[in-house]
Amino acid sequence: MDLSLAIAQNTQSSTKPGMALAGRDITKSFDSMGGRNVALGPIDFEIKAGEFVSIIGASGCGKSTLMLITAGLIPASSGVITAGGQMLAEPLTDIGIVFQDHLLLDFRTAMNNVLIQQEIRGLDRSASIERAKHLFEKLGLSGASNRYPSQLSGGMRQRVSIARALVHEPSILMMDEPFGALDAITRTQIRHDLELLWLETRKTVMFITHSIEEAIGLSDRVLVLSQGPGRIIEEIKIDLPRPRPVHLGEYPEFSEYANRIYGIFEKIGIYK
Amino acid sequence: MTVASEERMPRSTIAKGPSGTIFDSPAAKIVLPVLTIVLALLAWEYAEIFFQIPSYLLPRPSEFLGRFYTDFGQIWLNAVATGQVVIYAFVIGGLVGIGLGYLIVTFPPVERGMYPLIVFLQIIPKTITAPVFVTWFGVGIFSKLTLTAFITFFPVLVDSIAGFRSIDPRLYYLSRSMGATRWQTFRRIQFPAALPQIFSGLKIGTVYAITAVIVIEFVGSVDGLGNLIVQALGMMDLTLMFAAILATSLLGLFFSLAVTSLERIIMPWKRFQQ
Repeated sequence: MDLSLAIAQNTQSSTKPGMALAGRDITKSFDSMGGRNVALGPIDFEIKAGEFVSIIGASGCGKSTLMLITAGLIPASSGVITAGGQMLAEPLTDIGIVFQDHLLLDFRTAMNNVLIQQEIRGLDRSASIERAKHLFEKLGLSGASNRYPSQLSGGMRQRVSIARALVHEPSILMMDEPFGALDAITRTQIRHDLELLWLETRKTVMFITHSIEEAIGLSDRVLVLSQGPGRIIEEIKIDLPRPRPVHLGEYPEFSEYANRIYGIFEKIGIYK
Repeated sequence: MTVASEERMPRSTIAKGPSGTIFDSPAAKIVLPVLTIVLALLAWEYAEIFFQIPSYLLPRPSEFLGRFYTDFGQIWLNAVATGQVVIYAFVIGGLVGIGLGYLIVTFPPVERGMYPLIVFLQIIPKTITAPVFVTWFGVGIFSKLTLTAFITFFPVLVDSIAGFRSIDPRLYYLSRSMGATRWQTFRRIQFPAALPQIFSGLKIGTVYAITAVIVIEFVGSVDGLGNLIVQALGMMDLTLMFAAILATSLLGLFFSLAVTSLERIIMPWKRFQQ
């Protein structure tokens, strides 16, 4: 059976289905000295409900910009974003976002950083606390609830910010190089934890990365972005069983996919 | 005996380390400054006696400290009058400073419109405008309050602007993705995030505020420590003047301690940083 189809069916069993995302003719251009400078697009993409899609590309190819446009946080120069079939006119709110920096509020404890979602969204307090505790447990943060960000390690801060993105059970999760600032060991472990967590609820995920290992380790599909201007030049379906092993490198299937992406990177001149 | 103590000596030094001397104990942190002050006052006292300086020119510490004690009722009433103005002005100047700082950072047209005026007002030494405030608002609490609030407002404004500007703009992406209103974003993110800088503005503000109240009390007032100092001048009563100056310093000390304590209570997370 088609993998993405299997996932779409799977979402029906979860408490809240993911939401499909799509972009049509998305471009982003900036005014520069030499006139109009097209940074991104035109891009067409589609992420099915409950699908985990990575967007991989070199630094500065506009992948973060694409994510912000899709979230409705910055306007595209042209094109249309649809979320759950609806045209997007204002920022998506049925969403959790994780950035490369944890962006935790240093004046709130780990638990209260997560509960800001509850406060602003006006959700039920005790249910949110329960959910946050569950996420903390899953993410290995059990002892961290009452600590301030300055008392946590980089990896733990990022785990807290993942919990913050999930506590309100959004349909969509967007992550912009969430593990980019972490060391290799932490990165691999968090990647694995994230996959297990995702398998529980099957959100629609848009995952921005420049790591081939992360893209293959997590995604149902990988979109490869070129640079100057950023365009989707390749779409790779990752047909590997889940949960995927922590140490991916040993598996021949992984190397196959990795080599394919390396090959594309070479072709478009990211690697020379 | 000798051998034993020789043996013990280096061990205890190593255990305590170089900072383990009695001068680093918690008690020494209080005792040492107090001792310095007492010694300085004693030196002052005896130098005056030794050089036979008349106390109508420079009162001895024993004289003005005695005066502080005997005239405490009068000094206290005036200190309350001055302190009251500081507190009100502080609240008004602080609120307006934070509010305007927020508007300036949030709405660029406000910044463009206000900035030249603010820079101009900032370069005026504002205490010299005290006579103007007395002329406009008369002798009494209203003129004191307006001038002091006006002066306290500036450091708070400058530091709130810096505080609001220091916030990572991507936090606004997060707050918008949560569907936060402007007020929610202000209350839950911007204000607490800017608090450390706002407090450094408030701390400078306290020093300015005390100076401002005293100056306007020099110019036109019927009460307050500044008024007491001017009265003492009229009577050539330097002992009372020194006692009043001491009271003003203590009032200043009280307010900076109050702001520092408030800072600790409001921002408990600061204790874990650095």
